[in-house]
Amino acid sequence: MSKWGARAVALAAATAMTGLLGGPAAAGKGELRFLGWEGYADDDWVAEFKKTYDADVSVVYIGSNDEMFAKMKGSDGADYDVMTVNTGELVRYVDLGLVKPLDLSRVPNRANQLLGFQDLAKVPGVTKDGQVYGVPFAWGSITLIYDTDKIKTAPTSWSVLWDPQYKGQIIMPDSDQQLIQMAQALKMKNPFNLSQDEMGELKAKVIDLRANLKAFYSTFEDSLQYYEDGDVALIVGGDEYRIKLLNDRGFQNVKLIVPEEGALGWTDVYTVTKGVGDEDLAYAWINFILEKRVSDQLSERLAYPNTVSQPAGMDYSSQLLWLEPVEDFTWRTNVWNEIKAAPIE
Amino acid sequence: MRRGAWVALNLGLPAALILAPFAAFLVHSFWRMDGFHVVRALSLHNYRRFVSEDIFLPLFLKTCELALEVTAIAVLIGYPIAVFLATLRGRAKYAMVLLFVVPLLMSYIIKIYALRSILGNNGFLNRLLVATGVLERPTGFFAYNFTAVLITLTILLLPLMILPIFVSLERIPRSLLEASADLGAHPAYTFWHVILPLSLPGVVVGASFTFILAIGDFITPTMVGGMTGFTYGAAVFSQFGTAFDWPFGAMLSVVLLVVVVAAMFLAAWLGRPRGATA
Amino acid sequence: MPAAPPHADMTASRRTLLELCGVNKLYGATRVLRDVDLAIEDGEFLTILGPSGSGKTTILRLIGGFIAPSSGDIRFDGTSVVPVPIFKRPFNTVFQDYALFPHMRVNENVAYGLRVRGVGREEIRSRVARALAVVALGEFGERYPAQLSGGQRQRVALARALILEPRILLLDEPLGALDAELRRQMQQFLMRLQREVRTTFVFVTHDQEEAITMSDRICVMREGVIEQVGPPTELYYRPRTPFVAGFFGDNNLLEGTLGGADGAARTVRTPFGDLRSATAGQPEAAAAADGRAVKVAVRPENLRLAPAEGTCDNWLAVRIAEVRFVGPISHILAHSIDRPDIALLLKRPSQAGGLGVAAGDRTAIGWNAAECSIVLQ
Repeated sequence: MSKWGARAVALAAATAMTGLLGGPAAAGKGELRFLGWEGYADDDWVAEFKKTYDADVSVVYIGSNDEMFAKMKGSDGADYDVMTVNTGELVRYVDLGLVKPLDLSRVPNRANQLLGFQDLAKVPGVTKDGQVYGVPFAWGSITLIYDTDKIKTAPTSWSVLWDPQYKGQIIMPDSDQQLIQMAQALKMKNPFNLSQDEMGELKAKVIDLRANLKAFYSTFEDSLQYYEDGDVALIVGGDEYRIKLLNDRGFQNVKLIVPEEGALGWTDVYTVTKGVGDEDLAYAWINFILEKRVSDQLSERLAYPNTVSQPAGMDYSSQLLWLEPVEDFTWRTNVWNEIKAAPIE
Repeated sequence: MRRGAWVALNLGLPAALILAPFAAFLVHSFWRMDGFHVVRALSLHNYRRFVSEDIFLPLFLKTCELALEVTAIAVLIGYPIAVFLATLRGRAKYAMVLLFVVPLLMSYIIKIYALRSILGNNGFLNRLLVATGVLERPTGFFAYNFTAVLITLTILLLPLMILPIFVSLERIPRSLLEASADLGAHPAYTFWHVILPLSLPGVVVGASFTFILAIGDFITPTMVGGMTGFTYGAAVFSQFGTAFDWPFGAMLSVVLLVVVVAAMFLAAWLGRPRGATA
Repeated sequence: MPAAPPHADMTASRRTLLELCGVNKLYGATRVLRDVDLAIEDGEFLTILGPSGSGKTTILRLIGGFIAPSSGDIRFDGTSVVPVPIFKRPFNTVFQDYALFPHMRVNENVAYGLRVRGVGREEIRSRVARALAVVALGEFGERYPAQLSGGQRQRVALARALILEPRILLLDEPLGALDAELRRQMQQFLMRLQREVRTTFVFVTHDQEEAITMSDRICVMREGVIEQVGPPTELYYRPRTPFVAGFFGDNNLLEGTLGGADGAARTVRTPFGDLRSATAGQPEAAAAADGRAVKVAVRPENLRLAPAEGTCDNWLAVRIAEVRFVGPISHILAHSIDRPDIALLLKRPSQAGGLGVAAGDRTAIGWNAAECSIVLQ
């Protein structure tokens, strides 16, 4: 978030430069360039990895899936070596050739993974034409957090969002992924593949919902700030990590729930980009993350289940709708913009 | 020969750094996307989309209005502050001026968070108003709405309004004020007929800074505007940052650039020195 | 050379318009004016003259009302103006930097004071036209100050101040920024103007020649104190203080002690004999006690070369040390024969065939009692 300004400038410059110069610069030696979600390149791991492999590590965190895509597409994959991405998003990187097929023999720690992650052909979205493009390493939900002080009985349905009682007390991620979540809330047949009519209906319902919202938030930190500021009863897009962060800041009166319509589930995988510089280092990093010690630390620190140890208390995983690619990413971005731009009241 | 190279560098470097990106934006704005690929064929596709779709033009006008309002409020608040600073003497003056400059050096995001926590429902302002009995209970009037965007942008950009005005006030020779009084003018008359007109160039510079930064800012509206926080800048950002439609984003930027350049020319014209040329 | 100041009669007949009484001005511990008493007479051209830091501009700013005295009073027509704010005082100022309003045309600058007073549009127009005609800028009304030369700006500033018909016009080194030729023209112009409008001018300068040429009276300032006030000839020929005696051009100062009085003159005893000096207009010198250390001031042009003995009140045997031709005037340096350490400067109009003296010649110089003055130490 704090790099938005700089990012916009960089984008502008990049736009100008790609128009003028074209090709990206070659990667330096002994350097690993990470692109992914906050927390996945923990400082301790980076320090340890640097020492073990005598390499430099540069870390770039992103705030949304679309932002990650823009970064990868903008550099044609040449600015990063490894990337974390969810299985629903991976397909467009594969289709555009932004990531490389993986040689799993270079990830010996795959042997540590739980049975469900051993046969990757059975994990939706990670293989194409018999080639494997992603190694799962963490998973979790995208659902709803509510404040137990402000809402005495736990909500059971997403319809709580439209309840005028909570007007101005709801925050939602500023991401078109919410179109999937809301389609699910409205019990649409396939939230990943909507007809024009369904999208029209969804758009109208979400525009309605805006009257009830306090704000769209952009990062974890942003959502926590809104909560701390008071008057937030419901955090849409809430997840396990958010609960942990809130607890860490002294808020115990928050609870993660999966409404009866269901919630979204995600599996994050590691991929190697098409423009990878030091391939050995890239595989070494993925292998390092799959060490039991590191994976357990990931769960401990981010509250997401990993792929090495059996998760405790994740009894709702069967209610999750696992992320898949959507029918048209650009369409959804535009609809999301239209929703945000629609006049209110 | 060396002189030629020097001239080329002096003209070429600004041209490369300013005009080239402008040109790149302009060229991009006539291209279009096919899926995730840029089609490098000239067309008015993006411009047609801008006027035909019912989100961008209204959003653009709304954002212009926001920027104008912020500018107007900043002038009304900033001018008296600048006058106050200019009337101070000695060490107090520079201490106070510094106080207004320091926020410019602070992180923009931190300032927004700070303001959000002041304006929010549990914020300092509400607590103060409740504690002093002005309000019975905290109001949502200051946060996550259009008022909040106005307040926050104004506060964030205020130093950029105050400083040029302050500088222009400082540049008015004392003897002019003395001459005015000497010719029989009451201080109020001197203010309206000498100080105000001579400080207008500063107001124009401050106003153009404020307007240009306000019209392009999307972080502040997004963070404090709640449901009203979607501005034109955010739409531009989304084309580059999320939709990955650079040609359309470039086209939206060209519109913004045109307005910004127009604002700069207007400012240059309004602030032109009087009587310097016949 | 006339010994009596030519303006003496005129000044006596004038009435006091503005009076500074025991004025002191301090900035912190720094005293810039000390016990200043000064009477400004109606219709005169008074110059306040002094080196920089002497307090001359401070006096002007006190009169204008830009600063207030630390103690003492300033009376206009007998009434104190100290409590009167600048914008209500019937005085106007021409500033050193002219202080023209850069955003206003010449017309608007000149009309400013009338606008402030709510004078009607038509009257303003005709008065501005007249004022600009007086300063010979009739054609320049539509210009901005930046489009004028220094001398033109100067005249706009004058017109802007004079249009209000002030009782006193205060001019703060207004010619300082002009080049020599323009300066001479402006001096002439100001003198003519002052005679035409008959307004009291108080003019501040550090230029002695300017002061002497232009003024009815000069007030010489030094380190916050008034040294002497009087018409230019009086200051030139009959200085009362060593500072004034040395301030205007070359002067011969001969040390001695006061002797007895003899009618309108006194004897001054010097190492090379007794001198006689008139005391007209010098009451302090006339009254001072015998034996007091003084200087006799005599201008180089008042010294005669080789006068017949007995034809001058004062006579001195000298040896010529140097004769120097400097154009219309020649300088002759002579040493006393009795006291070779005492040198005198003579100025004589140059002549094509020379002055008839050469270095090494023994001769005498002489002058009359009325041609020198006694300066108290």
